[in-house]
Formats: sequence, C-alpha cells, structure tokens
Amino acid sequence: MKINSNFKLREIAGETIIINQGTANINMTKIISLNESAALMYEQLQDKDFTLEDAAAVLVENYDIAEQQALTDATAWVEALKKCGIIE
Amino acid sequence: MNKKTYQVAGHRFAVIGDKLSDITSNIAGFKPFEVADGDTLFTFEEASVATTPEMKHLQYSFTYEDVIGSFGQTDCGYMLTLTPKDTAPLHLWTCNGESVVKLQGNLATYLCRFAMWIGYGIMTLPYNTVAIHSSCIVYHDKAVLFLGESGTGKSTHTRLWREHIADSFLLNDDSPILKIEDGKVWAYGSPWSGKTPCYKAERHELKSCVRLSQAPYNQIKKLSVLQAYGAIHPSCPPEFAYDDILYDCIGEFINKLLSAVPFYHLSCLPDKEAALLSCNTIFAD
Repeated sequence: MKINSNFKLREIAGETIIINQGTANINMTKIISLNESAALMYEQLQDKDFTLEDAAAVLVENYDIAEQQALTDATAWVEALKKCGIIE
Repeated sequence: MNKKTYQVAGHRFAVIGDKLSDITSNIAGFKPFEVADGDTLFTFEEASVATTPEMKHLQYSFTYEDVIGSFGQTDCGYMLTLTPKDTAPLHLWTCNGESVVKLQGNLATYLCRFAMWIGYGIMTLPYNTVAIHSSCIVYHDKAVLFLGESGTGKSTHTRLWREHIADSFLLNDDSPILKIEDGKVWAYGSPWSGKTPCYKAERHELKSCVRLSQAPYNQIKKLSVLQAYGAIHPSCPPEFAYDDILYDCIGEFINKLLSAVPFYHLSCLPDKEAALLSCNTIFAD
C-alpha cells in the first residue's frame, strides 16, 4: 500500500493535520488530525510502497513496544487513513 | 492613457488603460481606496485576444447567479474565466514572476469587479493577505469577523450589534481582508462588500473570529484548533484551495491566524441577546 502523494502534513498551531479537499466542487473537506506516532509513521512511510509489517516496525523502533502491539496499532492507523482516502 | 492607483490592505496596485480605469472609477467600492500614483505591487491591464492563454488544468468551477466561473492553471500562471449566460466570457490571468494581471473579453463592470477580487487575491496571497467571506464589526477599535455559509445571518448579526451595542460599526459586510503583519492580525476594509455598500479604507486589529449557525437558542463556545480550522477554511477563497502553491500560502496564513486569535462558534437566534452574548464573551477581558 501507499500514501496518496496528493496529501501534505501541515503544522497548524501545534497540531499535525492533513487537509483532504476532496475533488473540486464537492464541498466535503476533511480535516484529519494525527498524533505524534501517527505523524511519525506518515513521515517515514510516505513516498514508499509499504506493508503492515513496515508500519509496525516504525513503532517498534521508536516506541519500545512489543511487535504484536505494534501490529495492532499499525493496523488501526492503516484502517483509519484508508477510510479517509489517504492510504490506498 | 488613464491610470488609477488604489491601495487595499496596504498593497498598492494600478489599473491601467482608459477602459479599465473607467470601470473601476465607476465602481463605488473602489473610490475610498484611490491613492496618489506611486510604487505598485502589481497592475491590472487589458490584453489582446491573441495573447489569451489556454486553461490547461481546471482546478475549481462554480456558478454565481447567471455566471459560470472556472479557475485553474495555464502554462505560465493562473487563470479565471467568467462566462455569463448568453454573452461572451471575461478572462483574467497571471504569469508567474510577473506583476501584471491581465484581463480580456467581456469587460462588464460586475464581471471585472469579481475578477479583480481574484486577481488581487492571487497577487497578495504571498504576503499573508487573505480575503475572508464574512461580516466584520468593529468595537473599541478591535475587529470581529462573523463567518458562515451564505444565508446563515452574518449580516443580520452585525446589524444587531450596531443596533444594540453602542460604538460598534460595520467595517465590511462580505469580504474584509485579513493581513498578518509583525505577528498581529489586522482586518482591513475592502472595495468588495457584497450587497452592502460599506467600503472603508481603514484597518483594525482582529480580536476574534466567530462562526455562526442558526438555532432556536443562543449559545457560544470556544473552538479547539481543529474546529477553528474547520471554521475558517471554508471562508477562505475556494478558488485557491485546490492548488498546492496557493493553498500552502493559505495554510501558513491559517496557522498564524489560529495562533493569534481565539475562535468561537455561536448558535443563535436573530435577536439582541445573541449580539450581547457574543460581545460580552469576546470582549470579556
């Protein structure tokens, strides 16, 4: 899977967010807020083709958590961003 | 050749040529912004049919009354085309790196007026300057912007302030311009004020922004950063939302705006108590 390159992380007044404008003329802008670990996975995995295991590895390397927990968390992250059309 | 020079939100621009300067001379909104000739950030000039570029990448289109508008990129810059039903279109375009905004085609006053709003917006966006669709009241020398979809009662709410809150006055009823200068946010009057003729060449420091919605009661809540982003984003020019470079400017502007002033959401009735509630909350300190 891949992060859609049309999206950019933005730092707005201390929050890390992604603005999904939707397509022109469909007035359905989504604003997605990422916490620190979600933003870290985003930064390290953008521009790459990656697997669930790659995403979990980012968490294991940075947060000293067990692999199984990392997989569960990475799955939640992937599912959430897929729903918003950011991961495809 | 005739030339008119205007200054809006501290940015000076000239309208060059007999035809175009006649047009802006006849728009009441431009009059208070006329200044003496001097250095300008950019100019509006009429161009020939032959030089009109082709729209290569359409980014946004809209309909306003009987006009279809489209905004996008050409090979060298941005372009807006306004096509009224049954008559010829007006084109406005810019070229990256150049300080001339060109117009060509149907120079009907109402089309030029809107096109120049877009042209002004493109040219001043890099200077932390954004027109915000809102009604702007001034009280104790501080400005408050009321945001909301068309028809939510922005103008009604600022009218209630004027009727019930002494010393409050309207700065602009549709498109005041916000500009960030030295870490402060200023609300400027502009030549564009929707259907209310309120064109003031003055500025006041911004105190707050309030998103309105209609309700069977009056209630005001402070917004979180994310909620405030959701409140201000739709009030920025939608034409600039689908282009990476233009939206980078908008994003940077919103970042500074949200760091500088509080945002509120007001659910309200069209009554005196609503105006008093928002005034007392915003100016509590």
